[in-house]
Order: sequence, then structure tokens, then C-alpha cells
Amino acid sequence: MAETEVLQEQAPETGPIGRADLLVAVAAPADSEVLAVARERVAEASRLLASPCNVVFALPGETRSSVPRILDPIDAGDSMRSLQYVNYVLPGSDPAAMPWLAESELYRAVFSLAGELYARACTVLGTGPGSNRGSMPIEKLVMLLGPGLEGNFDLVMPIYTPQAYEDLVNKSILYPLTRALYGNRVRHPLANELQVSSRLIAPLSSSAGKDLGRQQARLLWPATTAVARNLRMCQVHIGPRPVQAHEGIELSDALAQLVGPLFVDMEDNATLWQRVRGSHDVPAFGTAEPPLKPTEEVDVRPMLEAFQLGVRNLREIWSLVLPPITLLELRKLSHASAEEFRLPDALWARIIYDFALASRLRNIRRAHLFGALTPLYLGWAASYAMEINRAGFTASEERLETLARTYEAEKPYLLSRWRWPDRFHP
Amino acid sequence: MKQAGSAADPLWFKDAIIYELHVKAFADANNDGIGDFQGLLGKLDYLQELGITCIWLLPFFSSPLRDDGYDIADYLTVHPSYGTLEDFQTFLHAAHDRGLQVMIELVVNHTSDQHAWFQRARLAPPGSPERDYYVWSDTDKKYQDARIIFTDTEKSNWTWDPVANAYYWHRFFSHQPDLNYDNPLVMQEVLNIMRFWLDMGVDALRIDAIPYLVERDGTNCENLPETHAVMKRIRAEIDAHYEGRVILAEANQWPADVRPYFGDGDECHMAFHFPLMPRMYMALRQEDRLPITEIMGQTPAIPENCQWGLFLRNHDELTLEMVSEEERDYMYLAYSADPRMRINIGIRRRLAPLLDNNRRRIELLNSILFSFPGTPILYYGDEIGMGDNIYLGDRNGVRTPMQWTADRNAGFSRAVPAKLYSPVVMDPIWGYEAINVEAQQGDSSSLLNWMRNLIALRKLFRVFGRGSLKFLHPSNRKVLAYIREDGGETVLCVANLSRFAQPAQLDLSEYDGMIPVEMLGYVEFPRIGKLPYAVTLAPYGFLWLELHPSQDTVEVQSNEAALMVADGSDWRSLLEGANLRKLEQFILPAYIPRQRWFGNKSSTIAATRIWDWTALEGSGTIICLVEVEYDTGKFDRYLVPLTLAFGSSAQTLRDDAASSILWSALSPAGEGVLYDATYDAAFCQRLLRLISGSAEAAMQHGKLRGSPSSILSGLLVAQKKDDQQGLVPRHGSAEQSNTSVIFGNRLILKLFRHPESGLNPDCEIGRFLTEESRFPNIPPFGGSIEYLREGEEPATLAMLQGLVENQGDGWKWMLEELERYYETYGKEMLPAEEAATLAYRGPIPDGARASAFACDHAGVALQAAAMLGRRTAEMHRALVAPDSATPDLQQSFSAEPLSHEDLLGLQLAINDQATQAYALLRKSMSLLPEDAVEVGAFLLSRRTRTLEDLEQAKSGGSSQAQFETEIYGAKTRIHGDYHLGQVLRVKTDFVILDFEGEPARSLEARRAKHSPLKDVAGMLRSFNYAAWAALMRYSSRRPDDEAHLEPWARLWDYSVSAEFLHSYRETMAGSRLLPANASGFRALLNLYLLQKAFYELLYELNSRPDWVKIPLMGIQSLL
Repeated sequence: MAETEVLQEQAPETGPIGRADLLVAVAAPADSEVLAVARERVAEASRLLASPCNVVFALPGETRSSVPRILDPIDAGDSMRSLQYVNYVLPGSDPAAMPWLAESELYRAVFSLAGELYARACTVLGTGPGSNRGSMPIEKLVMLLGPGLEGNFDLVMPIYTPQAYEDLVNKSILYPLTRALYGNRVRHPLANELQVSSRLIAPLSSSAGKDLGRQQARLLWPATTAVARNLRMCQVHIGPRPVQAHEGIELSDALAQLVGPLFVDMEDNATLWQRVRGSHDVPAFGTAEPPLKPTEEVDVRPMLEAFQLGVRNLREIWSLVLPPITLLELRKLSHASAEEFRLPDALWARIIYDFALASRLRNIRRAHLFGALTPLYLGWAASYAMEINRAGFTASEERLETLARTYEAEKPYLLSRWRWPDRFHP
Repeated sequence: MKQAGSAADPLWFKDAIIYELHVKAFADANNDGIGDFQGLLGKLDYLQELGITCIWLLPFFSSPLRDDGYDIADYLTVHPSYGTLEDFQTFLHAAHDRGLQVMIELVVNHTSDQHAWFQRARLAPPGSPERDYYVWSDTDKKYQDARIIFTDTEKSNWTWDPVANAYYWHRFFSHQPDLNYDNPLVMQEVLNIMRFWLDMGVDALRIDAIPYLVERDGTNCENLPETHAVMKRIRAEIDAHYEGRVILAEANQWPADVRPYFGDGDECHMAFHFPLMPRMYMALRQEDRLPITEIMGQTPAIPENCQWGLFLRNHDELTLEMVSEEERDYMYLAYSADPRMRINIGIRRRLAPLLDNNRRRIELLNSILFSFPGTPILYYGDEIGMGDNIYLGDRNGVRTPMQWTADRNAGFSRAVPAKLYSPVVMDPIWGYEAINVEAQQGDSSSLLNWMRNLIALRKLFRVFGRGSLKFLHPSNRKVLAYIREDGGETVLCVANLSRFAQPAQLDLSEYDGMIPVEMLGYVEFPRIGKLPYAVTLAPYGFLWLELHPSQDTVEVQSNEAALMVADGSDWRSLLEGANLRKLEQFILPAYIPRQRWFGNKSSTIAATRIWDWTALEGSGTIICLVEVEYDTGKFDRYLVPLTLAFGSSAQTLRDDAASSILWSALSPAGEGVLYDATYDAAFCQRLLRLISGSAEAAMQHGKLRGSPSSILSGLLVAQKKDDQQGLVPRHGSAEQSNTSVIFGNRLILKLFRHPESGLNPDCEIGRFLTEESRFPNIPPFGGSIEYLREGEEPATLAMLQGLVENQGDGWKWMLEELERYYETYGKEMLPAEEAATLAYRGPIPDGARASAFACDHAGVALQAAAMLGRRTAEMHRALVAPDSATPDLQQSFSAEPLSHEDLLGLQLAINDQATQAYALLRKSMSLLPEDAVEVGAFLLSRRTRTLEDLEQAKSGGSSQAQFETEIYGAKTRIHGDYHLGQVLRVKTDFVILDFEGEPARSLEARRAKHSPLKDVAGMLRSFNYAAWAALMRYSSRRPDDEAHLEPWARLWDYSVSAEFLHSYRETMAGSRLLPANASGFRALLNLYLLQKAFYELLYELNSRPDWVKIPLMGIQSLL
């Protein structure tokens, strides 16, 4: 066994880049030690795939290989299985300043390579500095490599182990909003690991259209493209999501980078999501794991203060986005004590819907829009943290489900606002 | 390689919102008082925000501007007042960057007389190619039948040119000489112009004045075949070299005359629907939907890749060419009180002034415009409700500068006001200080914001651009209601044309269980039930309601995944476990009611069950007999052959035969579909082999048995000899209660989707006439497939026949004859002596024949009717078994005396039918079309007497006494559902089809014996229908001709019927099948005619009120 895992490189060949059944890519900078582990695991997983196939493993490098190189005939008795590798150059965007822009560029680079290789499927093993990069358990890795090859699923998305106080933008906006819009319960619509089939590679890597923002949105939210094309999705429980600290990034910038593209996506896919009613499960493989126990309690006071400051200072801007009844609710909330403070789910869902509409109508400048959203988001986060503090961290998933259902229940509000925008709104 | 356009979807124009503007009138960037491309460039953000998707530019080419740019002096340059070619290109790219398409004008019917071609032509010698760029004549008497279009300014279509020393032809102003398309050089020049702009990236071309491109003596010089040849040439050029480009035809004609400009999808992509526009205004003013529904009723279907262009107003006058004189007078009175508002044959006003600046009326008409089938076209300024200036000449009053702001010159230009190409509108109501873009942008309740919202809303729903249209018929005619459907999208639109609130009851039973959701506010309305759906509309109110499946259905659908199978041959797993449950509980109950062959559409399916099935060896197909149970507890059985396809085969089905697909399937190899196997060639071949080989196939409970006729081998041999295509099967297009499969050019296999136990009359009679009587005028019977099961009578599943080459069915053929007949004599009055003959009302007198006059005028139809009479008689004779026939055949096909009981039964049936028809007629009087009201009222006034007469006859009254003294003739097998649609015209003869009887009746009833006169009555009524249906169609385009064509219709009906009857009786002479004497013949025939006419009346009242006049007149003539 150990012998077959030794990677035997062959001399680089010249000529056009070849073909692959499956492209597996590490889409994050990594040292050679990490990459060696990843190679080993990918080789092992490739051996375990049900269908024999030609796997090309793409590794970040200084220069790009002109052609895949043979690593290893991974199963001596099966000439149909092979593993090769190529080097490709990571895009140069600064992940520190624009992490999600950089992430979308990583996806584009990998998907372009997959397109050149005519790959039937392409698996991305982690974007971002703290990502998995193939270090997940082997059975999970196999699940992330197989479905696209078998032809049954066009998009495989990860489900990370829940964490009570992490991933709050996803919990509060990304997941419930995309679920209500498109009807698919994709638990982590913004993924660091995923697999796409050839049916998705082309539309995702296409550079058609001159609007870069829209291209980035498409790359960050592959599930939307899959829904628009009526393609099949599944999810894989792959364990904890490595902590991705984006130090130095303002919260409002983070919201603009994450939620902004989603709002753009809403404009482009309005005809699609307006016909979706309710939601349904997306098949999930693997075993769901209980939420991870938090390491420390959350101090909600700074968040509450930020919210109250917003109520005092941002009323004028909010009034361009939010209707009077919401403004009144917010004002009442600002007078609540820390113990009593709770931002109702329906109010929060409507706030997000109103911001999405304001984004479409260009009521205020984009930077101001997400600046105005930030204290509201902190108010929600404080409210959520206090609830979880009281109910216990294991209740976080139920809490999330309740919020998601509320988004769905409030969707008619979004539809009516979207279809007939009228300032004279209650 | 083809050059792509700016839009990705080649059918982009179907979803487009077009905005028409004149560069000179939109925005002036260089402050010379005339709008220009730089100005337009600066307003693109405004247009993008408004939501329009395509900009239509009026002519901007070099021109002396004597007809606002439609007099072009150079097609390849921009008029200097508007900028340069580079400015245009900059604008074009900027528009494309914003996702906007651009349409320009291709004005190639004529040029300016300043064009170099014309200057060269007038100097060139007669007959030279240069001279022949235009149409010249030594006389102004040529093409006398061509009308003059600009009646206010032009007295002739010819103008004398002293330089050329000849007259030149012009359909419009005399300074616009028409190009001569008989000169191939002209065609080349036009193609060069077109290529120039398309190469630059222009997305669409509006072709001006299409009907007039070519002239021919003896015609009205409109819509000539040669004109279509020109259009096909232009289109071919576009299709060969460009993608995503569009031609929009300007043809101010009736819809039926515009239809040819779409060709077979190979001429224009779009054409304006001119007659709809004035009728929208007429319907609004009259508070009556009829003008709209009538013109839409006359609008023919167009090819899938084509689209109507709809508009409320444009840069010309509100044209009244496509209305009757009376309607024109009404429109003038209603919409142009001041004579200055009129020009040519129309009204030169903008939308808002036409509607008295009433916001609700403006919104209502826009709601109709945006929800009708077609692409809406907005005229610049109408989105803010701009006014006009009727004191300006020509049509300049609706071409004033766009009103942007309340600043000087309406923000259009900073030039001194006197320098503007046209004064801005300045009065207190319509002036730019009151109505301008800036003010309305700041007012969230403004018309501009309303329009923006409406445009955005329409763009969310593909159904508006691409869906079908079906009118509802609420009794309140002030309410216009219609359904738009496309794929899974269903939208109900309801509009109140009245200035007061109106109620309406809508028959939405077809959508029972669905939930209407008001589209503007996403407001859920009460669920639709079987009862009429009540709505109340505010004055000029409108509702757009999206019909959603109920939440229950949504839940079920969302949880229904694809059928899971191992591969394409894994039919067995379809009938097991979860797949079977899915098939029976969800897929079949959803699929079967959508099929045309499903007969019980008024019932609700409670459950379906696979009652019996087999997998046909070698075809990968399962034949299922599906039991359908209704909520009433009753059930039917249907034949449903199914098969699977994956990969490219599945994709082909999705693209070409989506209706054949039941559900999606999934295998490890990928996606596939479960579909109707009659679309699968292998399956059809397998059925053919089952018949030809006398083969059997075991099913789970019963078996299939193929039975060839004695002549099938002959048919197959003949096929091998003279048909090079072989027996390649294809799915027949005309699916009714059955499905047909055509093999090569020789055989047709009819699958009976609703097989019943017992002898199928179509098979039974087909076999009898082929094998026993050897009657040659039917399609030869080739064989059948029967389903056999112990304890049940055999059921026929399929019948094979020889395919007969033909010129169409008798109905279509007669309608074409009638079309020619009306066209030829449409302007003539019927001579008085003929008219006097026709004053006689009632059945055809004994021994009547067509007059010499009728023979001269409708000779072909009369000969055909005589031939049909003869073939009908021969068929009736052939339907009687000879003495030598087997006992079984004797029993089925012997002639039996027509008894008193038979007559009583007939009279009882007529009595019942008449009672029902009168009741429905009385209830429906308010819904009858105008021309049917009088005759309907007349019949109702005689209702009691008629019913008494019928009752008396039934109980032994005078009619009974009359019959007792007669010999009634015999009853025997007859066709049973005999009319012109059941015969095929084959050269000068007819072939008789379809002995199935009326599918709604039981097999026993369809096999019952009747007097042959029942068939005769059916055909006579069919002649009557043809005469009036053709007249209705003809007069819908030429309403003024209807009154004097009615006697011509009567003449035709009378003469054709007389010839048919004469020939029939002559051929039947001596037969004991018919009553022995003339009075008996006549009395019995009258009874059958009456029965048929009451049946028709019930049918038309229920399904087609516009046609109700025909049976009403038929009944009137018989009483």
C-alpha cells in the first residue's frame, strides 16, 4: 500500500494540455508539506472511486504546467485509473483586503483549467488560507470527488459542522435568504470546498458579460446557477469549517462583499426566484455532526451599543430603505434593555428584503447601503447570541431553522415590494 | 461564421419592450435646436432605468427632410444635424453595454427624389439599368387599382418628370419615387445597405411600407407574391450571415393579409398589428370588449419564431384604414372633435390627449398593451403622458421635443427657443412645466414611475411575450378577460373598460383548485372552484392574476424526484415499488388530462392504476392499459404506451416533442425522460409487425393480437415497389381522440386511446367495405390490434389503413372554393331573378337542381357536390351485406325495416334536444353576437309552438299520421358522423373516412342502424356550415361586403345541396333503403336535419357563440 502511494513524477511533456475525467484542485497557498499530504489523500480517494477515471490534481505553483504529469498509476491492476498533476498559478488578488473577490478569482482559475481539460467534474479542495486543502477524512473526500463523475449530481456543496457563534453572516442572511429565494436548502451556499460537473463548469467560468461584479456573484453562488439551469445538487457533511479570520476587514466591507453579490444575483434571477414557493431539502451524504461547543461566551454589549448608535444616527438613511413601520419597531427596540432585547425574525427578514430592494433601486450608494445595514446586523447578532446563551448552544440549529422558515413566510413581502416599489408603504 | 448580435437569445424580440424615438426630438447636446446622437447618448441611463430593452430610431439618414426623414437621400450616412456615423457607433456600443438592443429603419420602398440614384435615373436613357432603379411609365393610367395613401396631399400615384420625360411611380409623397424591385441591381443595393448597418452591430431593422414594394398591373399593388419573394431574399441574407437580428414589418393591413409576411418563419420576425390599435380605443370609448375580441378572433396563428408588434401610439396618425366606414366615423366623433386633429385617414394625437388625460384610462390601455400577445412598443413621451400640438402641420404635432425638465426648452436644448426644430408644448395642461421627466422622477406616484414598475413587472413573466391567448366570455361585455399561458405559467388578465365599477363572473372551472395571486402586489385571492369566479373591478380597473397551483400540489411536486432506473431498457423497474407508486399516483394523473385524446375533461381524476401491461420484445417499450377512476366513481381505460430515452435522444424530445414527455428519469448514465412511445420509431415498427405477422403478445392478464386484412400484403408489396422512403414511421400531427402514426407514404396506424370492449365500428366497417363490399372510396383497411382478456369482449387498440394521397379534407377544400367564390363576386350584386329564387326558405324542393347561373358561378363546387352525392349513395349501398355473407355479417350489416318505434325514438330524441337547446338559447340571449340576436329571438318566440308540434308528432299527431301512410325505407349501418371533414378530396373524387361514429357515444349506439338519410342530413348541414363559415371569415376582413354577399352564400348553399341530393337520389334509385316516395323522403330527411341543427345549436351555444347564427338559421329554415 505504502509503495503505491509514492508519487513518481515523470518529466514534463510539451504540447497541448490533455484531458481529465476529474480535476481536483487545491485553491489556496500551501507549503510542500501540506501539498504532499493532499496528494496522498487524493491518490487514496481516487483509488476508492466507484468509476475508474483519469484524475488530474492541480496544485498551486510559481508557473503553470503545459501538460499534466503522471504522478502514479494508482492501481497497477487497473489501467483505467490514473493520477496526474499540473501546476497552475494562483490569481494575484490580495485575499487580505478582498477575501471573497480573491475567492471568486480562485474559482474562475480552477474552473477555466477544468474547462481546458474537458473535465467531467471539478472538485475544489479549499479556498482561503485556513481551508481544508484535502485534509478532511478520506471517506468525506471520496464523497466530494465521486458524485459529479457518476453523472447524478452537478453540484456538490459542503455542510460544515455547526458552530453556535460562528458563521453568523451565513446564518442570518446567506442561508435563509438563498433558501427562501431559490427553494433549495443549501446549508452553506458560500463554500470553500465543492464539486461541479461539466454542465456547471462552462457557465460558471464564462466571462460573458462585461460586469465583473456579476461574474463574481455567479462564482460565489454556484447553487443559484445550478437552480437556474435545473441541475441537481447534493451536500456532503465534511466536518468543521476551518476558522477563516479576515482580520482588518471592516464588517460593513465584509457585508458588502458577501451580501452585495447576492443582491446583484437577485436582480439577475428575479424571474427565477419569484416563481419559487416553499423550499425542499437537498440530499445530504455523510453523517451530520452535533454543533461544536463554543470556547468562550459572547459579549453582546458592543453589538447592542452599535445598534443603538445606528438608531440614533442612521434614521435618515434608513428611511430611504425601510418603511415607517420598521423604523418604528427599530426605535422601540433601541429602548429595550439588554436582557429584553430581541430582534424578531420577521422584522429581520423584512429588513434584509428591504435592503435587497434598495440595492436594486439604487436608492443610496452601495457603500452607504451596507454601512447602514451593519448596525442592524449587529443588533440581530446580539439578539441571536443572547437567545443561544439562554437556550444552550445545541439549540443553534433549531434556531436557524426557525429563522429560515420565517424568511420563507415573509417572502410575499419581498415579492410585493419588488414588483411594485412604492414609497407610500406602511 | 455568422456575426452575432448583442442579444444572446435569438428570440429576444419576443420579450422585448421597444421604445420608439426620433433622434431630433429626444435630446440636443450641441444646442443647435435639433436633437442628436450625443444627446441621446446622455439619456441612455434614463431609458435603461425605464426598463425598455430595445430602442427604435426613426430615420436619421441624410435627407431633405420633406417627410421627416422617410425621404432618404443617402442610406449610409447620418444626417449632419444629428451627428456623424461615429456618433451613431458610439451610441450603439453604449446601448449594447447597457443590454439595450437597437432597431433602425430600412426605408426601401422609395427614396428621396434627391437621392443620387433618382437624379441619375431621370437622366439615363429609358430601358437602361440606371433608369430602371425606379418605376417609369409613359402614361399615368397604369396600376389604376392601386389606392392613394396620402389622400390629403396626393391626387395620383404618378408624377410627371420633365427631365425624364416620363411619369414615375410613388405610393407616398410625389417627392418619394418608388424603387423598382424588378431590377436586380436594386435588390443588391438594398442588401448592401442592410449589410452595412448589420455589420456595425444594429440588432433590428424596421422595414417601412412593405406591402408596396412591387407593382403589377391588374392588382391593387399590395402584398404581391413578388413582394414576398423580396422579403424572403432579405431574410435569407440575414439568416446566412447574422445571428440574433430581427426584421419588423410595417404592413398596415388586416391580420390575415399581414400573416403571409411571416412566411413559414422565413420572412419577417415581427409585424405590427395595426387593426388592434384603433379597436382598443373603440372598446374603451364604447365600454364594450367586442372590438378587441373580434379583431383578435380574426388574427391568425403565426409561426413559433415570429411575433406581433403592439402599440398604442406612434409617430404617425392613429390610422383608421383598418376599420369599417362606420367605425371610422365613430372614431372621428369620439376622438377628434376638432377637425385639425384629423389627417389622411386617421387622428394625429398622442395617447394622453386622446384619453382626456385620464390617468386610469392611460393605465388601463397600457395594461392591455403589456399583457396582450406581442411585443409592446412605446412612443417617446407617452411614458410621462406628453401632449401634442394640433396647430403644427402634417404629423408634427406628435413629434415635438421630449419634455425633460421645467427649464427652458423643456430641458431638451439650450438653444434659443426660436431655433428649435419644433416648438415645445407650452400650454398649461400639457406644457413642459407641468409634464416633464424630472418632475415625475421625483414623484413616486407619477405616470413615469407607474410605467417603470409595469415594464419591470412584465419582464418578470415570459408568458406575456410568448404565451398563448384565450378569451373568457363573462356576460358583462364591459369586462375584457383573458388567459395567457406558457409552459407552467398561467396568467389571468381582467380589465374593466367602463368608467364605473363592474362585476364579472368568470368561468375558470378549468383551473379548479388553483389560487390566483394578484401580480402587482402579490396578493393571494380566494381559491378557484367549479362555480363561476366573481371579481369586481374599479372604474377602468384591471387585474393581472398569476394562477398558482395550490400549496398542496407544490409540496407534492417539490418532493417528486425523477424516476430512478438502471438504464434505458430498464422498463421493469418503472412498474415496481416507488416508481410504480409515482407513476400511478402522480405522473399519470397529471399527464392524462393534458392529452387531446383524453375524452372526459369535465371530470376530475381520483386515481389511476396500471390495469394491464406488457413489455414489447425488442422495442424497449411497455404498453399499459391504464384505468382512470373519477371522483364520481366512474372509470375509463386508456391505452398508454411508454418508453425511456436518455442523452441526446432525450434532448431531442425536449426540443422537438416536449408534449410527449411524461416525466424525467434518472440513471447512473445521466438524465432521461419517460415519454409517449408513439414518438418512438422502433415501437411503431413493432406494432406494424404485430399486425402483419398475425402475432400475439402476452400481457400480464390478457394478450394482444394482431390481425392483418386480406389486402395488407398487397399494400406492403406496393409500398416496396414505389416508395423509396420505406416504412419510416412518424407521429401524425392531427391528434384528436386517437393518435395516428404514418408509415412512409403508404400506411397509417390509428391508435384508439380509449379502447372499449366490443367491436369498434371503424374497424368493423373498414374491414367490411374492404374485404366484403370492395368499396373503393375508403382508405383500404390493413388490419388491427385487439386486446383479449378472458371474460371480456375483445377491445380494438389500433387500426391500420392505407394512406390516401389527397388535396385536403372536404371542409378545407370547400372553404377554399368559397373563398375564391366570395373574392370573385364580392363586389357584385346577385341578379334579381336568382335572389327571388332564394327568397324561398326551407328544405331543398324535390327534384331541384342548380340554376345555369349557379353552374356558371360555382361550377367546381357543384360538380364536387354531385360526385360526393354519388359516392355517399354508393357507400350506403355497399354497407348492406349481400345474401351470401356470413351469418355474423348478415346480423351486423343487413337492412331492416324502419319501424314506428324507430321513428318515435327519433322524434323523442329531437324533442329532448330541442327542449335543451331552447332552454340554453333563452339563457344565452344576452351573449349572442349582434347578428344572431334577431333570428335567436324569432326562434324563441316560436318555441312553444315548435315544441308542441314535436310533442304532437311523437304522440301520434299529424306527422305520425303522415308517416303511417308512407313506406319509411330501411335502417342499416351508416357512417354515423358524416360531414365534410370526414371526406378527403382526391383529385376530382372523394374518399370517405372515419366510421368511428361520435366518440362520446357508447359502442352500442355507434353501431346502431339508422336510415341512410341521417348521413345525408349531416352532409347537407355541413354544406350550410361551409357557406356561412366562409362568409364570416371573408367578411371579417371586408365587413362592408357582408350584406350583399349573403344572397351569394344562399345561392351556393342551395345549389350545392341540390346537386348533392340529386346525384344521391339518382344513384340510390330503386334502393329500398330510402322511403319509397318523395313526401316520405322529405319528411324523414327534415327530421334528421332538425335533429342535427338542434345538436349544432347546443354545441355552438356551449363552445362557440360566434358561430351560433348558423344553426339558428338552419333551424329557422326547417320550421
